[in-house]
Amino acid sequence: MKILKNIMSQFHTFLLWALASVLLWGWIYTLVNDAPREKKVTVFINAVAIDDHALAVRLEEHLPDGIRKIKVHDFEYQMIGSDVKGDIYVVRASQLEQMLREKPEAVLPITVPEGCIGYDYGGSCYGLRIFDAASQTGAGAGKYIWYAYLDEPQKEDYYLCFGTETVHVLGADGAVDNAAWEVAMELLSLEK
Amino acid sequence: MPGQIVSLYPPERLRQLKRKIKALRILLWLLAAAALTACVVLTCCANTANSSVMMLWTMGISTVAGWIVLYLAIFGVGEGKKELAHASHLVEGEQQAVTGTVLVDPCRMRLRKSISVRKVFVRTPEGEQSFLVNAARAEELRRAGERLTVYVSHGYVAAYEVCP
Repeated sequence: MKILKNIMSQFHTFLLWALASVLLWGWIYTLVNDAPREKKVTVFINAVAIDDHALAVRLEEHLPDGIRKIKVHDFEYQMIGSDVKGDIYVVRASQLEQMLREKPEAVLPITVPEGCIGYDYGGSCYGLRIFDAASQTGAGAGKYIWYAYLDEPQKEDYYLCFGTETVHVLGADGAVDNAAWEVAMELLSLEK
Repeated sequence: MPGQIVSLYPPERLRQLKRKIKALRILLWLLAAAALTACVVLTCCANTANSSVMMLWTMGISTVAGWIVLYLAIFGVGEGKKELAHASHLVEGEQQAVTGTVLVDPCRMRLRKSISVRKVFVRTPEGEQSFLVNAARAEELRRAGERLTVYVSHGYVAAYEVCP
């Protein structure tokens, strides 16, 4: 009873401590769980739904050399004013076309590796197919990425492409390694 | 015992209080260090797979340990220090003896940035005088009886003597 009375007399102090503790450790974990741009690969996915946490954990099982972190975000994260620069984007075919039409310099042209299907635009290839609408199959579908609603098949293919501001694809300005390409291959190899 | 001056702050009690404050201080520093170490270890062990769970554990440990440390600091060390400062002040001060019928008020009040006290009324042939007594010692004074000589220092009762 006395303890409770004492606590109530200093309730504001205890409450303030709880708030400070949550804010402080939240901030520290944000710092600890991040890495400089040169040490992380950022993936943006614009699908019906994604399990960003599980996908990041899965991709981090095979971290490329020199990379500490793989961050997976919903594409809307980019759209709400974040200044995070994506290395890899997974978008619908129509969205990729729109990006190339409106801002072609934002997408990195690539050479399609053997066994992959590319997205051609204006004579260059810009994306690698990750979801096939004809067969309704895609990398990591139903486990990490949901390309279609359950009651409605997806009519469009999805493509994986690289942002020109990436520093993890050899050939891009300021590239330090080819880690984004390695992560992309890992992403494409996820069970269908 | 009639004729014997009983101090409300005997030297042994003050020594005990000093020992208690020291022990509490050591305990709260140990607790704070242990909690901080646990939080740092959890933070260092965090990775993408477990960061949410680790963060919740860290926040929980930090919050609860912080509450315990705060409680000990405010109501253990803080209150102890106030009582010690108050007692030292009274023991060192000049004491004035007042003999009469003593009545200890049941209501306690907290002095700003100091200890809790209760009022003491002493009825003498000249009239009624009012003093204060440490609330933690008030029961001892009340149990001593009604007819007392109280020794007052800086307006606080520091000792008493049961009148024969």
